[in-house]
Amino acid sequence: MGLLLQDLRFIIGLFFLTTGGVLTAQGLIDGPMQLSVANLNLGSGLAMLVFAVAMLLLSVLTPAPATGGH
Amino acid sequence: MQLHFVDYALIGIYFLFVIGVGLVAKMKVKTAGDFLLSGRSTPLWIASLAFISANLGAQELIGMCASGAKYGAMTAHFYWVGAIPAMLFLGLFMMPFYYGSRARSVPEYLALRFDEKTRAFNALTFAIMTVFSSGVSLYALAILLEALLKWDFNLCVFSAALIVMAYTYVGGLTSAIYNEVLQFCLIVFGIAPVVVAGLAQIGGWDAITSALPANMTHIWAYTGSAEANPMGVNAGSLILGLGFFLSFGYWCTDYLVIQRAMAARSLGTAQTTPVIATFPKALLPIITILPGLIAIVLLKTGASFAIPLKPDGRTDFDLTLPSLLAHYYPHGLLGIGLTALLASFMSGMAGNVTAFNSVVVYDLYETFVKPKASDQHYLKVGKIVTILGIALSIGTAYVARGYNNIMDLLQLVFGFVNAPLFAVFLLGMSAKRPTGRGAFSGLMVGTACAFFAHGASIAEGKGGWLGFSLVHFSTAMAQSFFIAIVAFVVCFVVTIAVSFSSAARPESELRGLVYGLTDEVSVKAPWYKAPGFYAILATIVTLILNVLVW
Repeated sequence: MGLLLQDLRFIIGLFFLTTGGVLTAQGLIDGPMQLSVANLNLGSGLAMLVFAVAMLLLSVLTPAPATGGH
Repeated sequence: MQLHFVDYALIGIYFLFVIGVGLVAKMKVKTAGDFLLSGRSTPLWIASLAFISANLGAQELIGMCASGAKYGAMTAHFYWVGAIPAMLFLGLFMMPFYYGSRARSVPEYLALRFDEKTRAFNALTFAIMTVFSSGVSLYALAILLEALLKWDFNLCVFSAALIVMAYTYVGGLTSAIYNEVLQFCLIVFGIAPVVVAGLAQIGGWDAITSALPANMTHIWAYTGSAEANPMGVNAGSLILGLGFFLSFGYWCTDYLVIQRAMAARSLGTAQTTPVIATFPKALLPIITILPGLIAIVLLKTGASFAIPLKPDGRTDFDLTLPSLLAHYYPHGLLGIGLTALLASFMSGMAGNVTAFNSVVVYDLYETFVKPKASDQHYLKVGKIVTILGIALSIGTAYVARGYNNIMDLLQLVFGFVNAPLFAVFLLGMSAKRPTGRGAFSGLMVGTACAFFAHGASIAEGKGGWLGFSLVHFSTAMAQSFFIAIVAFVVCFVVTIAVSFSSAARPESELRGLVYGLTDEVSVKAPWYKAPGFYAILATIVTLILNVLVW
């Protein structure tokens, strides 16, 4: 877990998971079930969540070496 | 602009993460080299994104959007002509000497290649310029937040400075680099929705080309003469002034960006860093310049959109991007958009402070004050210099408040110093004959001639302070190209002339510093990993982009 926390991909993934989650939730509150570009919160939030999942998967599936950074 | 709880929450989450990144980076800091140079362990993707993010300060986000609104698509030249070629040159031809010489900074390379006085000149001017630049970033952030959100100026200055100090003090360059990568991602997610929503509302690129005059939507077609385009430059001065003298002077010598490549884990990574960075750089106009064009179309088509005016009644184009954020973004995304702006200001400030650190510790303190001290001593000094750099930045922010043209002054002085510096580097890396006396003389005379060229020319009411004017330019941009050309040429000629009147250094002292006396100027790698392969790809992509918006 320590190495994972030092992995920048994990940190970025965690950040966008958090912010993407907040935006998605706000988007659902703004306009439930509206999947349209007009609902920018929902669209941006989902895009962030997809990016976050990709970064988290990368950090877990291709761990950073013990020395040096990722 | 009023913010809601969700906007503040998102800003708060971001601040928690940047400090968290600082604490994570702290785990890697054991030595002065770790603190000031990131231990030379940065992988390629991080180094490349940090390389462009360090340059992607808010002046660029705000300034490029404003320029897009004023000058149109030609603003893209700052990327496709004014950055890409120089970045490729840096990676392919200069990084082997910067990295391979084991110099810890750009001024240190000058000491190895030439002499200590040349190093001292570069180190002093760079240190002063970076701390001023950091302060101007802080000032620009504070006045923007004051204008948009009515936050207190002093609160903005001190809270932003304290957050930057927190993560750079504990984590050093690694913390700054990691945060720059995070900030780059945030900037893309924070600004791209403006482009999506804007194009959807106005009807796409076709709507832009039909609403705006042709010289605002073409980048080369109207450069036959300076009068034919809103930027006031012709193709010749664009290619020479911007594309060579100004851009190479910045991208090939400015330690702020080069430091990110020098933090790479190997020579191959260091060479490839600026080359890979050209790909996102080439696409940045989509989120930096296109919003400016969208804003102008919105104004022309009578949409319910407005850009605030300055006290003198002129449109304040610097508020174009914030106005677009306020126009399109619901609460939530508005917090992200503002966080992206905050992030860009703070990355600009942190980048300057970390570069200031390294130069002050290695090139001034260790060289002239206390050589041969222990590594832990330099680590302590590095931390003290971080606090000093932040304090000086705060001071500069208040100076900038009193002199509203300080940003112009800063840009000008950078231009005076960078162009002659590039001449010295070019000669120093490519030929054995240039000497320390020649390089120092060239720098002095070249920089002095830049001042003279500014004082003897006038553009938009600027310059001409010598009391006479030899040349008039229609735009300040054309004037800055002219100054860069004069400074470079004079420095180049003087360096060569004085070098031939002074004794050459023996070749044994120049090994690893000059082309022809360096064994490893390119890394042995399969073709698909070679920097040259990616440079060719980047050139093709850039040419295609130029043709698309010809």
